[in-house]
Amino acid sequence: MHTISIDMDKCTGCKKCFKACYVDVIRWDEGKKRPVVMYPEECTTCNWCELSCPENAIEVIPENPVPYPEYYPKSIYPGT
Amino acid sequence: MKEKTHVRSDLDDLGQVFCADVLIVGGGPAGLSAANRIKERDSTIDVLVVDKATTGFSGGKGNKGAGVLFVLSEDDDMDAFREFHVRNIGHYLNDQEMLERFAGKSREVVDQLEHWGIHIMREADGKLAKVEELPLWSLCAFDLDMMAKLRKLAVKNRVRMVDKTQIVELLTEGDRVVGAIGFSILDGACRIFKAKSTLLANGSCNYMVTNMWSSGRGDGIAAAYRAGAEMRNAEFGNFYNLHLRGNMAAIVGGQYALYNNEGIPLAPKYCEDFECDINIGIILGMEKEVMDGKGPVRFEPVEYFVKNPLAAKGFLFRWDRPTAKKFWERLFEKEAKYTSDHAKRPEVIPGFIGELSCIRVDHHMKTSLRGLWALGDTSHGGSAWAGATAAPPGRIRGAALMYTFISALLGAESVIGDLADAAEPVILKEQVKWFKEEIYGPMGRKKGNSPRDLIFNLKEVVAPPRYSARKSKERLLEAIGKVKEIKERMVEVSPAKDWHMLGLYHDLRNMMQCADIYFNASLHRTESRGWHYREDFPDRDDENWLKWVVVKRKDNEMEIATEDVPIGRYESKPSEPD
Repeated sequence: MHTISIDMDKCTGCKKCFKACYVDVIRWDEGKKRPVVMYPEECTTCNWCELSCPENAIEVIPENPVPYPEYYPKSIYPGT
Repeated sequence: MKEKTHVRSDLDDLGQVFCADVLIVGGGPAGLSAANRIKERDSTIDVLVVDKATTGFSGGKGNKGAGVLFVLSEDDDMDAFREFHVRNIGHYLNDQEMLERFAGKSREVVDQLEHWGIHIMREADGKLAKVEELPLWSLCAFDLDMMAKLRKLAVKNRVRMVDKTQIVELLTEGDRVVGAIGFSILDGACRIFKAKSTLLANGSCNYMVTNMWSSGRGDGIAAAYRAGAEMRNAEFGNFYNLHLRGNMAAIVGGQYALYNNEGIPLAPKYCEDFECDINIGIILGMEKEVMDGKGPVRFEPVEYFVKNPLAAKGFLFRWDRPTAKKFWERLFEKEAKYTSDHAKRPEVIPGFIGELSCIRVDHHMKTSLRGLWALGDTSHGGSAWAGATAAPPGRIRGAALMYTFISALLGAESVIGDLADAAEPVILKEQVKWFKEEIYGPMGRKKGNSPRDLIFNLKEVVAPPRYSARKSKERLLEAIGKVKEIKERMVEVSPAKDWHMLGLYHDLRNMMQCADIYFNASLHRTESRGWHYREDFPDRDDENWLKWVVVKRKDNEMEIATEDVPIGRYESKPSEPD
């Protein structure tokens, strides 16, 4: 799974990362006024949260290779 | 969300009710362009945009793509473009009148975008840029801050916005669409939207297979289908790109730099001498090499710029585009740093994107249902301008966004024209209640599988080339059967009382619906044409198949029909000599 790391010491609570995430990975904690990485499973590693952060508090760390459907399964493509 | 948009209504006991003249589902480039155009034409029209994420940040192509637009400039030849396109890309399945409308209106889009403050890169003499290898059309580059500008303009134009809201179904009154219903992905609140006109602008279906385009989950397409709208050209919803296995990087235009495990180049066997963009041949060829025991297929990075029209002469990087530069440099940096394949020639896989965009629209972006328009990636294929190709991108880079803007402008004009005579919409309480049960039903399941598991199962059906590139009756029936099995297992899925997971449940339902439409349309077309290849019908059959496959839901069943392409009234005909 991809990792989205937020340095809360740097975060000022501007909410830009919450708005930038288009796949609902980052939620907003209204109590703490800070972002929460809630659903990293859906991260597309577009890096927009990282790029949007004015404090450089976010780092997206992709995990590769990502799980991908078996496009040439050995049972059907014995030569692989 | 701005709560002030919520009004009191007799539906209040069922959810939060929002009323507007125009409801736009999707706050990407199509939705925001239509919203801005409508408000600029008539500021008294009440326009509301609802988005699953945040309006102006969603979608893929507006702020995460190459930032290019196809344009037929004043120096380009419409007849030559049409003839080339219909013969080589659309394979006579184009709506040629729509093709000419598309190309002819493209310059107006450039003017409109510049009017909106979007910087279109031009040559020093003020002309639109051309790539030497693509002589029949021009390309515009823009910066990837375009969406931010469109959003800012929409705020200024007093377009109302409701964010973090997943639309699930369209509300109907007879054969007229009168709004939509969905829920807040943050707190689950039911949201009911009532509108005289509804515009779908929430993208194609990409099945969440590849990373960058996984927000297109067919929400609008599936909802329109369930409401009874016609679909067209669904069999071409099988776009593949080339991806590096080690970091899922897309190598756009890399087909001339591929090798089998014997070091033999693939392009001479599977590509034309020059292709304006990737074609299905290389995807079929890659699979054949693997079947013959000559895989995996590998990519030679130093040859990436060979015969690569978009990368030619550094087109993408010759402009001063600070946002795009920041975006792409960060992406490339991550791809290099976190790749898992450090081979000199890394492995390449066929990256299934899909891009099913099959809602049928007329030349004004009207669907077959009254009160419903479909813009951008919801209807790119269904408009039929591009014919027998996976559209978007339709083998012309920048055409997807151009279609997006053109459809927005056409749709906006049409909506404005219709609003004057539109009756006040009536929402049926019983329908809302029924949809609410359907939407929230899964939340009652205490235990069950995660929707993510079934989504992965669905990817295993749509993505492999043996189902979506090298099609056959046997394999298509197998794929349809697998989709049916997944559908039957939906009752085992539990969102675990989590609204995000309920969203994924409905994503799964929509993607499954799209896959079913796509595979059934593919089964129906018993020939090969353009991006649709049938191993059991390998030839193009103009005698029997100058026809569009039209799919719709009728009496809860899928009805598949064909309709003759009116080739007689079109300029370009297959009988003309090559």
